[in-house]
Amino acid sequence: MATLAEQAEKLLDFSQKLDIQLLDNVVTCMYTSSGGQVQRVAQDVLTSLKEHPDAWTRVDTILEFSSNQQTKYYALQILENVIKTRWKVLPRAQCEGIKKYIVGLIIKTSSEAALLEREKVYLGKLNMILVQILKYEWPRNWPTFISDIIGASKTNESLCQNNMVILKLLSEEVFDFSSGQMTQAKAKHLKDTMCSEFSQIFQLCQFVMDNSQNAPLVGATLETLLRFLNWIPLGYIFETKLITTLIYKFLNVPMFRNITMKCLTEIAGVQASQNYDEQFLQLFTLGMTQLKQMLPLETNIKEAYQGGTDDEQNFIQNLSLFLCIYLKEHAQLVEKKQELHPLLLEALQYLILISHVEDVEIFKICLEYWSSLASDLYKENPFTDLSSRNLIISLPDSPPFVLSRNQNSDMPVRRQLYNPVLSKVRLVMISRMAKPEEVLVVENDQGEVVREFMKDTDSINLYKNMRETLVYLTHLDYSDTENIMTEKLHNQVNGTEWSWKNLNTICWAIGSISGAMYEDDEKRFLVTVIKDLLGLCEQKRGKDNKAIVASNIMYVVGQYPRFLRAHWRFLKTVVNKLFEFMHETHDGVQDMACDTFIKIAQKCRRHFVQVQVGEVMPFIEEILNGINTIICDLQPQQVHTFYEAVGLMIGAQVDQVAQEHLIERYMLLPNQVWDGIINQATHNVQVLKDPEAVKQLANILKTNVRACKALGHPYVVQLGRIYLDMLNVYKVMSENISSAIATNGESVTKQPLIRSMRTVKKETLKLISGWVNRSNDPKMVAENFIHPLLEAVLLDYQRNVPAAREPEVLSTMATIVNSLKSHITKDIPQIFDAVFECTLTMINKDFEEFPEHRTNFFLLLQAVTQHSFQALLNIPPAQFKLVLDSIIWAFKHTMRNVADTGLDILYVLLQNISREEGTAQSFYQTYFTDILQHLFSVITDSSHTAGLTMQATILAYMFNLLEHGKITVQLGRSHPAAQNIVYVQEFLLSLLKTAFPHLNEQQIKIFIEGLFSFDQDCNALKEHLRDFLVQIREFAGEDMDDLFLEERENVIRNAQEEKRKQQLAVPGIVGPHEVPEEMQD
Amino acid sequence: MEELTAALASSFEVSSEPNRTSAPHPRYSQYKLKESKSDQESRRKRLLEIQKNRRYDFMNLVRNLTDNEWSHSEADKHEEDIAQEDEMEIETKLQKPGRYYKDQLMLSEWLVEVPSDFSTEWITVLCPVARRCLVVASRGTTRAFTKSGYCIRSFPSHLPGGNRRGHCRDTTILDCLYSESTKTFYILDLMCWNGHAVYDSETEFRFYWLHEKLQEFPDLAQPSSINPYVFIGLPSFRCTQEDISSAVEAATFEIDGVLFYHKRTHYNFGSTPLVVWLKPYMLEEILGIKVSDHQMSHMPEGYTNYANHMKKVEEDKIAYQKEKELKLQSGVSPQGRGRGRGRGHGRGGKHQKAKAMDTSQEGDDSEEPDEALSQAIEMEPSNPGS
Repeated sequence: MATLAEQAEKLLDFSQKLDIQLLDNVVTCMYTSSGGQVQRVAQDVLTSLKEHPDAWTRVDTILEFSSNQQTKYYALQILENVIKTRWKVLPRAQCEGIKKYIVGLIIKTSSEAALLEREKVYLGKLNMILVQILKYEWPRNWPTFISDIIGASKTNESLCQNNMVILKLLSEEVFDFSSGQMTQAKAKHLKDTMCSEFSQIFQLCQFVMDNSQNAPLVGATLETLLRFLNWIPLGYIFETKLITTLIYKFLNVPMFRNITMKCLTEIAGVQASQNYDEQFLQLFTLGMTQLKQMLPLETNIKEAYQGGTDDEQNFIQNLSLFLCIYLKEHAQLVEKKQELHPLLLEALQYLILISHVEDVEIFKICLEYWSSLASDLYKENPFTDLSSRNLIISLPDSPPFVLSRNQNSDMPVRRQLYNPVLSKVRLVMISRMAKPEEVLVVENDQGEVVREFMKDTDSINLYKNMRETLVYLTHLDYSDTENIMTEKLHNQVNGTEWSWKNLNTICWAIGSISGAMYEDDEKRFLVTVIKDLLGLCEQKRGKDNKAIVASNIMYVVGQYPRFLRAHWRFLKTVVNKLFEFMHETHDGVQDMACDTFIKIAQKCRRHFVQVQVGEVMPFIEEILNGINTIICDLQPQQVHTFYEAVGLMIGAQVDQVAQEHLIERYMLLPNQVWDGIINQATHNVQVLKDPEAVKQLANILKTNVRACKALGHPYVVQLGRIYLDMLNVYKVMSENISSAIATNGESVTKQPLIRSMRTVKKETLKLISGWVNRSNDPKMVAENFIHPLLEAVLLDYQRNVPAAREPEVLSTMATIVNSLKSHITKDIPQIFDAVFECTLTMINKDFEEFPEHRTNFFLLLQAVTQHSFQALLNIPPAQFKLVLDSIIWAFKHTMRNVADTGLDILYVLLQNISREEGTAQSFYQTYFTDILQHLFSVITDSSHTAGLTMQATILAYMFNLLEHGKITVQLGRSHPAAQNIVYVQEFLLSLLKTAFPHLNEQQIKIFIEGLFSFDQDCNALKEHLRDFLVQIREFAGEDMDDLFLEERENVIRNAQEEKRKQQLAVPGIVGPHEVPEEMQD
Repeated sequence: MEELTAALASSFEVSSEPNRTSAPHPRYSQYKLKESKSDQESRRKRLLEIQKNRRYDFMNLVRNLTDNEWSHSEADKHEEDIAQEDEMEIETKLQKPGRYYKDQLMLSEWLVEVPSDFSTEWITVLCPVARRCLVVASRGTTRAFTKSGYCIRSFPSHLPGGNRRGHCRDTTILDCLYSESTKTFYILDLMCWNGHAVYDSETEFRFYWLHEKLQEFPDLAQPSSINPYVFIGLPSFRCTQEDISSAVEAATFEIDGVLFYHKRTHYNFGSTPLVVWLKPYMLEEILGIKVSDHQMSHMPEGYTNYANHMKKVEEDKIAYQKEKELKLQSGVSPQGRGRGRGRGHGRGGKHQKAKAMDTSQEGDDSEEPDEALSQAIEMEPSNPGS
């Protein structure tokens, strides 16, 4: 091992000849040994070798003499590295040398078909390197490249094949991947060049397509053509026989059909500014004709897909993309031609068949098209032909509105054309409706298994899209939708389609169109549905089956609040039945009952607090009377949901007195238990160390949190009742935890009892912040509730060990500031004294530790900066500096949320302070250039590009301050205040020169100029910064042409002039001494 | 619409439990509840028969409950609860307990048909307002579970097997009612004491034996650090009118309801007609036992029974027809509503409140918005009578 290290050193000695054998050994070592000393040594050596500036000189030797494939790839990596970063500082002669060498190698390897196949991977890497070279050399230093490569291609088929690959890679590098890899100017230049040289390339492609019998070559050509299609001038596509060649010659050849289909899809999606209607129609007619021969319309595509090869499956996916894109863009063309309607319907038939394929991605493609078709047809004419009264239109997510009766009862022409297909689409949607909710079962901090509702998954998004589509389709024909659903339901009842999955699906579909039908029709429909489902429940045997049907009944019912609100007795019966189900032990039924209960409570709350017709009291009273019996068999989490539901109902009671009575009765049970424990604790505080008691307290607090969530501000009557005791409990818990840590060390925080106690603290804070957030009387809150809270909470936070500090203290403070705003300003110093420095110490050691505290700390800072800015101005200067330092620390994080918050705070801070006359100036004097410096350190660091927009915004703001003369103090000692701009420019120049010595001074100067010119246009400024990021990566060298500095300067100058014109348009913006002569009268 | 509501109320269920106590008592229900194919009395007779021949491995069950190990359990796996052809069979079949502490308790039905041998073959137990739970004391700790098998809490107790210090090592299983406010477990029934299972003993014996054991362990009734929750047996009484009446009078706790156990029933799982339940305010109507006004005051407002309800439906229908005719004749705006009518209570209803009415809920499909409420006209109250 030691000998290996010694020997390996020899590799780094460039005065000696390279020992290939040794290198091979070292490389093998690194790739084959499984970790440990040997591998690490090998890796170190190889890395050092790679980074050596002269390493590239060894590359040709390695490639020629090494017998190990891995070594060759390693060598290529070295070469690629040099090209990407140092090309411009290499002597010209050496650049030429490398160029020739690579070209030669490529030609050698690709001239023979068998070799080409064998060395595919190696050749691929060589191609990539050539393209990297091209990015620098072409067209300036290699103007003949295109003609060279075309010429060579004509001599040898396998060479031609590889050249196609090279052209493809070049196309991608220039057109698809250039953003962030090249400066804008360079990208533009390359694109222009490629366009202007394209005709030769196209001729070659045509030649191959027309004449070649060589399948791999044709394949490579088509692949390359695909990349070209998104940028070449449209004439090449539409004014040649490209389309017909593709369709007639290649589409039906199994080997080429996928790539051809992709090409046709790309063409179909082209945005043409000229009139190419004829060609688009031709694409459609010829394409469809060919397709019908390849894939007869009677094929069961769903089954074919299931049993098909990968290639066949890909074809179906590509076909769906083609049809969807074509129809979306050009269907109107086809609609106008009566004789093409049958063909159109056949195309739609294909899509219907494909819509049944069991593959989510394909389905999403088809769904997108169906969705746009349905919404188009609806929006063009939102009237139906059935109405004999005022129409009530219900679009998803908007309140219903009434339209007056439409005299014209003919169905619009377009709709007539699509009508038969729409019915089939309805069937597709209804048969495949996605799942509307997703519940995850996880373990919480106490180790309990709980249910969590997911919000934004793929499946839920799919449901949303399908729902929207089905709603439009329903509006287009209510009775057809109803009929399809009714029939599907019958098939559940008569058993022909019975399965849990099918039942769920049809019920999700039924639930999805809630509100789309007229109320009367909806009622009639629902009565039938529920009757059928009830019958089904009775018919089925076994609890599993019954439970599924029951869940679906409750799901459907819960989706139609309008129906429930209109039929009280039914609503009441549903709720009573849910209460019954809350005693059912079969898996999932209790959960289902509670979930449905809260859903209904949300939508129908008023009905529970008013006396309904035929009743003697509001139903809420009946619930409260029997609450004990109803919830006696529920688990704690279910009880919490129940309480939230009831709270929602009580929240709908507008009479304050009545509401207070309800709240009192509502919280009776948990208050009883609470009082019991508090009483015990008053006599013997040790009871607060009993695990069961602590668990109960946590549980009661969780119930209170849900009640608060549901009631909002009116919760105050309950809060007042428990507030002081709750804070006392908090204090005791804190003491218990602290003394436990003092006695047993920090590891005690992992024990169940301590964790339980911390849960009590956390829930307390959650409750208080939840209520403050919802309260509507900031003054009252500030006067009555804040001081006890601060007293209980702040000192404990400060004194405690970091591991035992609750991050929720910080978030609660943030919530308080956000809600109470100026009413809390006088308390900020106290808050800061307690939490600011000690938390900062926890998080300023690195970027990772204490993530929750970190995030919340900055949320607090953000709240104060935004809503209580005065407080910041009042704190002593030393502390203010700490605040500013922490803001800067924030945006240096790569952790997205912290960095974003930091930038936000900075921006708000700058804006707010600009309003403070005197203070602003001293702020600028002390901090302006510092802030700039720190900003630039993140702007020029590519790991922070996620925040580029905000960084650009702030930069623009700061430069605007300068330019509008808002900074009246002297920023630099060398320049008077009037020359602040000049000073800043020089400051930046020296800053960037020092940081990036490998760049040109001219380059940097232009960059700085651009910063000022673009400061009115954030997007342009962002791109400008991105360009600079690209430039930093490369050694600039002497050759400046590649930087397209002149072009860049032009753009900058134009922007500057634009800016000026805008300014002049606004009287007074430009000072009198800056107005150009001709404007003065 | 009324039909639909009735269907939802009556025949919609997951478990087929006739006369389930989570639903209203059939006699008091607004809707005619689904009737079982055979009545309570015949089911009782049948169950008493088949329980004699039952072969179930109770010791294995006790082992499962002790170790929380269910892979070798005979208990109901749910998935195996496949279609039974004849509904009759379900109702008169002895159920298996569930797994993971679920469905271990013997649950009651409403007392719908008073058995002929009520005063001789039955035992009364008064139940406090408390939460039903299964208590398993084993391996040094005592745990309480809900009907669904969720562990509410675990703690030490003087029950055999329920604490780490005790001499008795084996398992004890009880059927209890837990009262949070008094931190007391009221023991309803005994399934296993110190490893001796009594599932297949008759109620009379189980109660006797429980009583004996509780006398041997007086510490159970005292709170202490090793017995933080108190265990108290519930007294039982004979089922004569006088005994029941005086028991209710003399009760030291608030009565949630009254259970009646058949003396000969074993401890069966799930709901059974051999254990029946009544709320105190039902005692008069069903058993002819008078109770205090205080008890009667618990009867929910608007309580009715089915017979009354049907009567109301009829009356409402007639009234609505009359209204319609009147309107047509006099051309009154359709916004007016029918005559006032109170919704009364069951027989002997003490709380009559005249209430704003409406027209029928059945049959009138068109607008029935809540705005009707604001337009309701209070008319003279009519006595519902019976």
